[in-house]
Parts: sequence; structure tokens; C-alpha cells
Amino acid sequence: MGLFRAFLIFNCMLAMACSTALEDPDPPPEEKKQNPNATPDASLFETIDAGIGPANSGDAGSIMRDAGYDAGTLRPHNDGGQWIDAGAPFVPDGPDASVNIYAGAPQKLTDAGLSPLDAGSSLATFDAGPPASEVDAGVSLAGQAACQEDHFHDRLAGLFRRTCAMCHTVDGIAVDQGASFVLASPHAGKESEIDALNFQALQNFLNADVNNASLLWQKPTSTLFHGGGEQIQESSEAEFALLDFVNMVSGQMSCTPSNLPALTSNDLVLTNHTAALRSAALLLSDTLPTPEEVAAITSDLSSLDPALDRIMSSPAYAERIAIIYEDALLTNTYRSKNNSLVLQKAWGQQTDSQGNTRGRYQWYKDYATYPQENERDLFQEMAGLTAYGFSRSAKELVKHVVTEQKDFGEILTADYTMMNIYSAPVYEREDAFDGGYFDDESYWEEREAGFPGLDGGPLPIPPMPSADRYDFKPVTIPAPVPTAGLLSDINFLGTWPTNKVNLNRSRSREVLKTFLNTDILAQVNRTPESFAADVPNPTYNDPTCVSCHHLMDPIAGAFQNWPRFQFQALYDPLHENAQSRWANTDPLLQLLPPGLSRSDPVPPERMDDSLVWLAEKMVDDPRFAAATVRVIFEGLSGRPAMTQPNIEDEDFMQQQRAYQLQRHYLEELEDAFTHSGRDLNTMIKAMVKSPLLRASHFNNHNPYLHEHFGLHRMLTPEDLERKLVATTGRKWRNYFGRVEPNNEPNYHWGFDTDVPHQSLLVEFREGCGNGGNGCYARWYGLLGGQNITPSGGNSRRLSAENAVFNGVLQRMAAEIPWRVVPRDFAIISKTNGLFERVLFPYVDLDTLPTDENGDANLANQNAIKANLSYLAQHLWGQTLDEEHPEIAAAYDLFVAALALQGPYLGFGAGFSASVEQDEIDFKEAWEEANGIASPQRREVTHDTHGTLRAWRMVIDYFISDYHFLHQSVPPEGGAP
Amino acid sequence: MKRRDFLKASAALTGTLMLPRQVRADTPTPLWLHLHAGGGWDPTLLCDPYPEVNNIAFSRQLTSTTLAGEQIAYAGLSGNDTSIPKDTGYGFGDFFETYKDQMLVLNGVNPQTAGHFSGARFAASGKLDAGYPSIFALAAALGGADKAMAYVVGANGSYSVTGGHVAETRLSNSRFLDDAINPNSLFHNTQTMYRDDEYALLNTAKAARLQRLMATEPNPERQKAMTQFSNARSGTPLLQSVSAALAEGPQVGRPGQNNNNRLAYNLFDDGLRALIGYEMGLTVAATLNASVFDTHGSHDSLHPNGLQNLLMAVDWLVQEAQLRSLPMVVVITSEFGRTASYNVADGKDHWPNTSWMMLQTSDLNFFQGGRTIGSSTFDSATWRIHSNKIDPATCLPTNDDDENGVYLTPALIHLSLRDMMGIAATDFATHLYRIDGTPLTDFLL
Repeated sequence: MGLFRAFLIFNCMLAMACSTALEDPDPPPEEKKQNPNATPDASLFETIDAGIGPANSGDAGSIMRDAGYDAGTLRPHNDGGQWIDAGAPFVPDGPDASVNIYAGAPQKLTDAGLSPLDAGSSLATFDAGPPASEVDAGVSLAGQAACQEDHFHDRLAGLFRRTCAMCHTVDGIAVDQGASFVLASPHAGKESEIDALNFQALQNFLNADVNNASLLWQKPTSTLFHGGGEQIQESSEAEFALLDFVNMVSGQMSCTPSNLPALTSNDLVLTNHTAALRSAALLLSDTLPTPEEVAAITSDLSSLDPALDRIMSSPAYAERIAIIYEDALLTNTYRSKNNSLVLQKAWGQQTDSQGNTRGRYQWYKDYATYPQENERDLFQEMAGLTAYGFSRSAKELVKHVVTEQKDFGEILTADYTMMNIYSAPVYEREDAFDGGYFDDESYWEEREAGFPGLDGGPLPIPPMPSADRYDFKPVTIPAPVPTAGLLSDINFLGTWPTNKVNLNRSRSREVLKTFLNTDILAQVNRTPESFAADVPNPTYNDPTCVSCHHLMDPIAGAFQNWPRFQFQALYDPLHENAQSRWANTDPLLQLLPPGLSRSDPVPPERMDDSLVWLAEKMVDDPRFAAATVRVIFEGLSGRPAMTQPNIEDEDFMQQQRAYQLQRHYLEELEDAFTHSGRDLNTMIKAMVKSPLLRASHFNNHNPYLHEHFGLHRMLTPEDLERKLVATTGRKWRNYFGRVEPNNEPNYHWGFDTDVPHQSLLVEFREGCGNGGNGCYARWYGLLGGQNITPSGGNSRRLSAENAVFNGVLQRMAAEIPWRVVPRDFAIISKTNGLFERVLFPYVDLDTLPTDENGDANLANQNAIKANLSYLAQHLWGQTLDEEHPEIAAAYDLFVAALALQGPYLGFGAGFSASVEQDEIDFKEAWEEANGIASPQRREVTHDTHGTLRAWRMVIDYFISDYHFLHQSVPPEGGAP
Repeated sequence: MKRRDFLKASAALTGTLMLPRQVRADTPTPLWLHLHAGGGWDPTLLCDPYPEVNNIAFSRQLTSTTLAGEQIAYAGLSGNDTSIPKDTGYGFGDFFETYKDQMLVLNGVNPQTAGHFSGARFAASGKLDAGYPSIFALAAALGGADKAMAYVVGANGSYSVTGGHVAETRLSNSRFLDDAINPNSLFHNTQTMYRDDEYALLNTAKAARLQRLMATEPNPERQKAMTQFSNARSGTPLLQSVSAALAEGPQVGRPGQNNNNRLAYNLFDDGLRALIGYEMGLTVAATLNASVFDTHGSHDSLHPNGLQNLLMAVDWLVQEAQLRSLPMVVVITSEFGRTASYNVADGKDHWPNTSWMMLQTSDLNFFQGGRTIGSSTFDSATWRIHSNKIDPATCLPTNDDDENGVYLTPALIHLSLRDMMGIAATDFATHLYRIDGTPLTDFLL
């Protein structure tokens, strides 16, 4: 393969770049206006988010910089403000030959970065300073050691893990250049394990010094020549923390424990098990715990598991997880008919570099001229159905893996693609779908003949779009195209495109972020000293660029076989921008070899399916577990997991304490995921039971604890829809909508089971375009994919109500009871003395608080209050007894609402509200067809007692409430 | 006190010596309109013109003398130029000559990054790192977080992180707005679901319930969410005035819409919603995004049209504001600039030197127009463009070796923007979202 492709090495590569264009016009080359003598420039300033400072390298510093350093308990200084005896002056800007930390080839390094220090190295010759034991001020040595280790973990671990490790790992440039100071690689384990390894790695360097000052301080501060430049700024908190540490270790300073102790579970007030189960049910599905499941709850949290298993077997659960990943990857970007067509073109419109054409991207165009039946625009309908299948493949893959309870790693390693019957022909896999119109032999004959009907001849039997577009199945794309789950999914590739200079780096960035828990954009916002240095291949030779590119580029290289720009998902391993480009040996053009990392390259025999190889490696990487836990956590809680706090922040330690506690719980979940064989359900069950989501209130005033624990976000449109289904049995549909083109009121309605995927909240298709998401949904913060350049903001869900969509929610709260209340009251069968209703088990339409004489009917009043108490539990998740002030307030509302009905008693129930026998018959026939036992029902057509409207108002009151529209986890004992 | 804290305290003290302009009683608080040229625009084709680095032919033009006695350079792209792909007919000179006295051009802006996310974040927040809200969100929070549409975000968003201080309103389309602002109505307001007495009773009960919740909720995060929930709820009825005004349409005359000027129309429509919201007392600030400038390919085919559209939209919005006698300050940012050279796809890649522009309606004097602050240098040897330092005392260009010189970074600009927008003396600037440094003395004069 290598020889065959060698001649294809492309000669016109001019830039080693990393652009992130989302639109790739890929025009034919034209004459360029460019300095012919200039090195192709600036293409390094692309995907990398590296901070680039003004071209002022500044003073490399001197050890007299420390006038502001407050050594705290450090021994008194008598050096005129210098805490270190500076000794002889040194040249700050040049490498110190005596400190050849970059000398020679790297030692044999382990992944832990713990190369034993060579006894003969120059480092070993340094004055190690007084041993710590000599300056012990009465604190036990063990206590000092523990205190110092705590200091490291509290204040320095993040610095070493995030900043130093960008270069000082086995994959980093510092080690390339001979540095002996090697830290743990990101894939060495969980974050806490990496910190422990790094602490261990430091031991060899704690006493290394030159000029009587610690190398650990002098190098990152660039006091002494440092290949990576100044990584810790003068007089920064990071510098002070480092100085404290080296002083403690050298015994010049006594360690005192932090005055802000670590947080523990005692700082959290958790919700009770019953509330936790309800919360989990609403977080994960569209169902509530059954009474039997609630009754089975004990003090043992594992007693929730059977109920959780049932909840997690629902289709809504798989949909929920799939949307979480869709949000993370924005793979719904190309979901509209026209947008999808753009991606579809990779399958059949374009040939690869060898002249191969695969697929039939617009297979339905064969029927464009077919006489329309019933005036249906068959072509457009088929185009839409095909786009639906094509554009949902990423989401459906996650759903499939979850539904089938497969190893969750299969979202990356799946060797199949999810297709519906309409998208399958695009991939030329119609044969995967039994039945339907592809069964007709004439179809295959025509297909074999290249559809001569296109030239005016007869076409085969037309396909009628009657098949279920929501019915997806895993289908293998024909060879030689390899499939690697989401990584090779066309919607992922299209959303995160490549181009001639980007070279798959935006894909790499997303892979690192979503699947390897590495946000490369957050790694490198420090301002380097210079930019635009005129060095060859700056991507790998300019310190500004190289630290990230070493992380990013091997993974980008693994996408090498998808190199095409206008056709992002065209597998073309022989293209000039594919493997041959990575084989380039010209130092100016050389790219890092494809792989998971520099030290883990793609083997030569796997180059054609390098992405499959990458997926196999990734799922075994500890970072995949960490990423999965965090993606799910963000999806469920609505907020990202905390990232390493910045030590320069004023309240760093408060942040750090919350971060440490959260990380502790997250790592427990990582273990649950890994030890279960990547069973997502096991991990999620642990998550919904963990304090991360169960914290309701706090015994500690740390504001970051409040912000990052528990559930308190506004519901997303999908959350609200599931909650409506769970609590009222219905989605919010177009009850009172208008129908184009005449804009006539639409009184038609159907049971929600008729069109299960339609609702005003999620797929309102009446207007506003954007792939079918209506105005309501967009105002409410439904994600529209990445419909903008990366600098845009609508790829982020709204997190707080505004006045516009508050109006939408108020409308929802008014419309839902309009429909639901009479239909619930239509049910009259009882179980154990209670009506089999979701909202009104305790009362009927004639349950009035007073009798015909106006005297109090205590039994009815109690029944009304009992029902209100039930509603508080059912809709708010709050246990409020019948004497609770909030129940009293709701009761007062009911009574006052009833009092307003006097003049209108006996009026009709109203448009779309009246429940008549034909509807009941329809509903019961549907229930029978679906194996559902029908309750006994009656007609509800008039508001005889005024209770219909009064209860509508009460239900409106409940479902427009904060505790319905937001996540809510009440503490032990009931309402907050 | 550590030295750093002392320095910070000193800097803060220095900052307080500068009188924020907004404290002047006669200066109305304008609509703060942020227009982000998303993707990274090419100022060499606009207000920092370098004909030599562009294939499209144009001359470096200077405006006629401004009130400040200075001149502003611009790319001499005339309207109806057949060499401009997708030409809208809008000449750059029309824009610069019309608004030169209302305009402050910032050239040589050094964004310190070439990443979209961080660049947009830095431009909007003044902080390269994550965590700071958009300055326009902060302005909205200060101007009235309880206002119904305090912070409007246009169709394509941009960096609009609010820090939880104000709710953002995405109102990219006005269809069905009536449904949202009249939640009790049916069928074009011809019927209602509740009778008036029912609706009043219900809303009173809801409001009382929310007040009780807010009074007793111990969790501060839920407290914050409840406050925003309450603000949103009380704001909904106020939107009726916005809907009515939108129905009347704009006052400014515009040419017919076509494929070439669609972006200008969309930007204007987004901005008009904010302007009308401001007119009704409901909006304080807005963020719009013209996200067409990431021209890694076919730069010459795409970029001039994008710039024409952007300038047209600003022109129309300023005209609209002035016709309605509404004070407005427009801050046009971009996350970075583009390379001097073309890549193999005839595109231009990211480059960390850019320009920003500020405009104010003719009734305002938040800054002295007719000026350019900052500059850049094109190095033909390396074919690169570099930001130049400026003298912080005079805002005039200075030598790169000048130790007292500073680069015109987004952080530095934001110090002045904070001053202008009345944020500098607030807790946002002094505690929560500090930017160390001193505003340029002459920036706002």
C-alpha cells in the first residue's frame, strides 16, 4: 500500500495549518497573489486556541522578582527582600550549560513519567539544600510530608497536570528535546491517579537546583532558560504556591494545613430515596415510579435498582441519552432536507480519487417526474424522509447502543450505520430492509438497468412513503468503506469538517473533548511570549503551537482517509490529502503520524481503517470513561462538570474544594463505568443515586458547592415534554393551531399516540423553518445544531427563562389542562376506591366544597384537599399534607375559581375539550390495538358544576409553577 | 498584603480617579448594540486597508477631514463594481464618509488568539480565559435585569454568556410572537381560554405562590433561578408593545431584498427588534452576529459581500435609531483578522491582528469620532501584518521596542468600554470580573 501510494504524495502543500472553516467551498485553484518568497504563513493560527501575546518576550526575569512573595510561615528573611540567596548572576535568556535539562535523548520513560533520575546527570550534582528533617519545627515529619502532599494536590496538581504536562510527558516536545522531567500522560489513569503519579515524579526534582534556587521554580517562571518559555508568571499565585512548595520541601518553611478544609458528604443535604427515584425517572424518561416501585424502596439505595431498570428500558431513556450526545456533538446540524442533501452528495454524486462512485445520494429523484397521486409531492416527501433517515444516523446509533444495552464503547466502534428504509438506498443497502416497496422485483431490475425511466421510459412501481421513518436498524456500509461508529458518521464528519489546511483538526478537537475528556481549547489560553515567529513548520517548531498539536494532530491524522472538503464523508484513502500527506518526509511539511498519541501510532497495516483502530484504542483509554461520565453529567444536570479552577482566582480554594469533592464522585462513576464493562446503565444508575444529583441543600456556604451539586436548572423543551407525558399522559400538541395555507383554526386533534413525534415543544413544524423546529422550540432554547460559525452562540441551550418563552410556557400551562382535565374526568372506573385517573383520583366533577344549601361539605372539602396534596406530589414532587399552607393556597384558588362559575354552570366544555362518545370509541379501539386495558369512560361535554374550569385553573397553577418547570429535588421531609 | 494585591489595589484606586462618562447627567443611556463579525473578518479589505495583500483591486482611501481633524482610512471599494462578486451596490465610501464623525476605528487590535471560541469570548468579555460574561450582558444586567427583553441576542448568536446576571432573549423570528405574549388568546386574539376574571384570579394566585417560594427558598442557586423566572413572568405582558411596533415595520428606507443583501436584512431585522425593545423601555443591550467571515476558501468571492452587508446593516440601524431619536452605540468586533496571503484554497486563514469599529448616533458623545486608534504594519518580507504598539498616554502609534508602549488588546479596549458603559465602578468590574490595567487616557475623549 505504501509503495502504491508513494507516488501520490502531493507537492502543493503549502501550509502546515489548522483552519476550522465550516464551509468548504473547495473551489478550483486560481492564481494567487502572494509573496513568492514568503513562507506560507499563519495557517498555524487555526483550530488551536492558543493565546498569542504581543510580541514582547519580556524580561526573562531575575530572582529578585519576588518582592511580593509572602512566605507566610517561612523563616524570617534577612536578605533584603530576596528569599533566596541569588548567588552569582546568571544569563537569563540563554540555556545554562550546567543545567542541561534538555540534554541528550530522553531516558527510557514509562507512561507514569517516572524515569529514575540518572545518578550521573547534571541534576544530581546540584546542592540539594538542607534536608527537611533539619528544619522541622516541631511538626512530625510524617505530618509535614502529608501536609506538603496536600499542598501539592490543593494548589499545584492542576498546574502540573494542565500546564507542565502539555510538554513534559512522553508525547511532549520537552521530552523530545531531552528533558528528564517527565509527568504522567493524560491516558495514564483517572485524574487523581495522574496527580499522584505527578507528585511521585516530582520527588526526583524537588531538590534539584542551580544558582541555589530550585529548578522547579526557575524553569516554569523562565528565570532559568526554559524551552517552553514562561509558563508561570511573575508574582502570580501559581508562582507563590510553587515557591511555598519548594521551600517546604527544602525545609525552609513549615507547612501548615489549609484553613479551608476539604468538603465531604457531610456538607450536603441529600434528597430522600423516594424523591431521588422520582427525580431519576423524570431525568431519564417520560414515566414516574409506580406505587409498587415506591413501596419497594428501603434505606438501601440499591432498592431503587429494579425501578431504575424499568425506567431505563423505556424508549424515552434511549432518546434522552441520544439527545445528550447530539447536544455535545451538534450532529443535528444537517437535519433539514436541503442541508442533509449537502452531505448525501458524498454518496454518489462525487467520485473518489480513483474514479469510484459509491451510493445514490438522491435515489428518489428517479420518481421526480412520476405522476403524483392524490396531488402529493412525492419527490419532496421522499426527499424529506430520506433526509430524516440520513441526518439522524448519529443520534440513532447512540439510541441503538443504549436500547440494546451494548458495551457503550460501541458508539465509537460500531461497524454499522443506522439507516431507515429511506436512507438505506443512499448507501445502496435497500436490501437490508425486508418488505415495503423494495420488495418489488421490478425495482431491482430497473436499478440494475440504471433506471432508464429517467430518460423517459417507464419507471417501476413508485415507492409510497408509508414506511415508518422512525424505524432505524443497524446496517453495514458496503466495503471498502470502514465504519467507526460516531467517528465516521456522516453527520459528525459534516458538522466538524476538514479542509486543505485544517486537516481534520476540528474533528480531533471534538473527539478529544467529547470522548477523551480533554478540552484542548481550555488548555492553552496562556499568552505566549511571541507569535508569528518565522520558523519552518511552526506547527511543530513554535512553542506557541506545538504543545497542542502534539495532542491533537495524531488523532486528526487518524481521520486521514476522510480528506475531502466539499464531500466531508467521502472515504478516499488515496486522495492527495489522505495518507500520502502523512507520509511526507519533508521537514517543512511533515505531519505527526496518525495515532491515539505520538507514542501510540496507527500500525502500518491499519492505515486504511485507521479510524476504526483509533476507536478501538479510545474506548480502552481511561479518558473515555471520564468523558462519558462528564457528558452524561452535563446532559442530566444541565451544567458541565467543573474544570480545574484557576489558582489566580480570588476564591480559588473555595472552587478547588468543590472541584475536589465533585471529582471524587465523578471518579467513582468512572470506576462504575469501567468495572462494569462500559455498561452505561450501571454508571447512570450510580449517578442518579450519587450526591452529585441528589444534593438538595447544603451545610456549607461554599457557593461553588451550591452551584455545582444538585439539580436546579430550567427544564429543556425535551425535559418538559417528557415531564408532561409522565404526569399528564400527553404532549403539548397543536390543539389550537392554524393550518396553512388558509390560516384556518385547526380543531382537528388526535390522540398523541397517533403522531408520537410531534409536539409544540420539540418538533413543531408549523413555521420558523430551520429543519422543522418551530419558533416556540427555538425561543425555548431547543438546539438547532451548529447553524453558525464557531464564534456563534446558538449551539448552547438557554438556561434561564426570558419574557418571550415565559409566554410560551404560560400558554402551555393554559392549553394542557384545557385538554387533559375533561379527559381525565371522563374516566370513571376505580381501583381501591380511587378513580383510575392521573390527576383526579380523589374527586369527581360533582365534588363540591359546599352542598346545595351552601353549607360546608367536609367530606368533599377533605377529598379536594387530598387531591391537591396528591397533585403536589404528582406534579411538584413535594410531600405536602392537607394542612400545609401551600395546599391551603391551592384550595383557596379552587374555591375562588369555582365561585366565578356561577353564571356559566352547564355551559359546554369548549372547543377541543368536549369528550364525546366517538372519541371514546376511537381511543378504546386504539388501546385495544396496542394491548392496553381501557378504563371505563363517560362523555364529558358540559361543565355542569363549574368544576371543569375550576380544576383547569388549578392544573394550570400547578404546571406553570417553578417546581414543575425546573428540576426540583426536595430535601428529606418535603418541600423546601 | 501581597505585592500583587497591593498593585491591584493601586490599580483600582487609579481607575476610580477617572470619571466614567456615563455619570454625566445629560447623557442618555443608549442601546448598547454589539455586532460581531463572526468567523474573523479581514480589515485589510475595510478600515485598515492594504491593497497589496488582496487580489481584489481597490485603492486606499481617506475620508475627507473629520471633526477631529483626522482622517480615517478605508478600502476604496465602490458600489456597483462588477469586479466584486455578489456586489450589493453598497460602496464603502458611502459608509465611511457618512459616519466618519460618529465613528471610532480601532486598528492593530491584537486579539492574542486565533481561535474562534476564545477570540469571540475575548472580544465580547475582555477576558481570553473562559468565565467572564459578555460586557453587553453585564450592561443589560445593570440597566435592568428585570426588563422583559433586557438582553436580546440575534439569530446567529455569538458569545452571549450572561453569568446568570440577566436572561438572554433569542428572538430571531417574530412569527407566532402573538401566541407567546398573549398566552390566554386563541385564534388571533378573537377568543380566550379564560375569562378575564378567571385569568386575573389565576395570575394573582401564581404571583403569590412565587413570592412565597422566593421568600423561603434557602438554596441560592434556586433563588437566582426563581428571580429570573419572576422577571420573565412579569415581562411577558409588556411585550405587546414590541409586537405592535414590529408590525408597523421599520422607518428607514431599504433597497429591495435579494440574495446578495439578505444578510443585511437579517441583521437589520435582529437589530430592529432590539431597537424597538429599547424604545419601549424593555431592552438595554443586544448582540448580533454576522457569521460569514471565516473565508478559508474563496475569500474574494465571499468576503467583500459580507462586508458590504455588514456595513449596510449598520447604516440602516443607525438611520433607524436616528429616525426614532433613539441613542445607540454600536460596537463592531471580530475575533481576529485574516492572513495577508492566500492559502491553496484561495482563502485566507486566521491571523491575530484585526480591527474593531465603534459608532454612535449623532446625538451622542460617548467618544470622539473621526479618529483611528492603533495601527498595524505590513511586512512585505514575511508577508505578514503585525499589530503596532501605542503610547498609552497619547494613543498614538509607537515603536515596538518602546517599553512603555502597549498593544491594543481586547482587554485594554474593554477597560474603556467598561468606563463608557458604566460598568467600571460596579462590583462586576471591581470584584467579579476584574480586568487589571488602566484604561487608555484618550480613548473616549
